[in-house]
Amino acid sequence: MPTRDGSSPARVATTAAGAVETGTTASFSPPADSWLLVHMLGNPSTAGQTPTFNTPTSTGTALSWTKIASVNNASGGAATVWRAYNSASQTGITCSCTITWSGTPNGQAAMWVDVWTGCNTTQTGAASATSTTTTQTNNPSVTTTASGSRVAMCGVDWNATGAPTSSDTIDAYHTAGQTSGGRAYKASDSGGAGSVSVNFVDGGSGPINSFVIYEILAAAAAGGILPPGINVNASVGRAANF
Amino acid sequence: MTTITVLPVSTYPANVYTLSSTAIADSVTSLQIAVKRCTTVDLTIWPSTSSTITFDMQTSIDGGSTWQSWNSPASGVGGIQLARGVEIPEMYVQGTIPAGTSRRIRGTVTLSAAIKTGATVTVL
Repeated sequence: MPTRDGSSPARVATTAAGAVETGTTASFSPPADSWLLVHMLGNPSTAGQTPTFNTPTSTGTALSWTKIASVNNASGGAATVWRAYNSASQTGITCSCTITWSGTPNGQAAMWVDVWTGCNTTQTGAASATSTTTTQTNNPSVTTTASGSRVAMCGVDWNATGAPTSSDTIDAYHTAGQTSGGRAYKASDSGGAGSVSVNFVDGGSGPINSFVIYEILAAAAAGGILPPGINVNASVGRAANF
Repeated sequence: MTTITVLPVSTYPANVYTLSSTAIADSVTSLQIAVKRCTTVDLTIWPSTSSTITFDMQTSIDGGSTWQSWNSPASGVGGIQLARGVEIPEMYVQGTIPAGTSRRIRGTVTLSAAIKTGATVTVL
C-alpha cells in the first residue's frame, strides 16, 4: 500500500535568479525502497512566458529522474512532477528542482518532495493528467491503471486568490500578490482502476490554475505462496509416479 | 483544433444544459470547456457574483459503454475577475484526456440563475 513516509521534507518556497526559478529542500533521510516525488510550481513575473522544466538533482547517491507530467497556463503559472526510485536508505540528502523561464520569474511559488513507500518498484505505465482552469472549485481527475493505487496532485494559482482547501489531504500556501497553491493526495488507496479525482478549491474567485495529477502504483502482490505443510518436491514426485 | 458551441451567447434561465455524447478524433490530446465571463467589453454577460456556473464532464474510451469523470465538477461565480490587473474573459477547464480510440465526451453545464453567457467545447 503506497504510504507517504514521515521522512518527507517540508514544503519550500521557490526563489528566482535571472531566468531560473529554484526550489531546494531541507535535508531529509529517505528509507530504502522508496520513491521520491518532486512537485515544483512556477511563477513567471509576466504573462505568456514559456517554461523549461529541468531535471531535479539531489545530493547523496545519484538518482534517475523521470518527468511524470508538466503544464503551463498561457496566462501564467506552471506545475511539474518528477519521480525517482531510491533503492537504499540515505541520510541527510537535499533535493533541488529548477524551471528556466523565457523571461524572468518572481519565485514565491512552492516545491514539495514527498517520499513514498509501499510502492511498486517500477512506475512505468502509471497514469497522469494535466489541466489548467479558471474555475474556483476543481476536481482534477486521472484514470488509474491498477487496483490499490494512490493518487496525488499539485496545483498553482497564479492569481493568488488565497490558500486552497481540499476534502482530501492537502498542504496549501498563499503568498499575496504572487501565487497560492497546494499539494494534495487521496487519504486512501483507490479501488479498482478507473477515474479518481482530487478535490481542490481555490481560496477565492478568478484563479488561474495549473494542475498535475498522477497515479502511484502499489507494490506488486506477493507471488503465489503454497499453504503451509505442502512440500513442492514431494508433490511433483507423487505426480510423476502416478 | 475544433470548437463545438454548446450554448450560443444568449440569456439562459436557471437550468441544466446538456452536451450529448460526442466523438473525439484519435489525434486529439486535450479538451477545453469554457463559458464567457463578464468584462468591460460586455457588462451584461454573467455580471452577478452570486450566480454560479458548473461544468460536469465525462469522457469515454470505449465508444460510450462506460464513462469516467473528467475534471469535474468544476464551478465558479460571475462578475468581473482580474488576473494581475487583466480581465479574465472566460471561465474554463482545459486538460488532457486518456489516450485511446473510440473516445467520446459528454456533460452538462448548470446555471444557478438566469445568466447571459455562451459555452463551447474545444478539442485540441
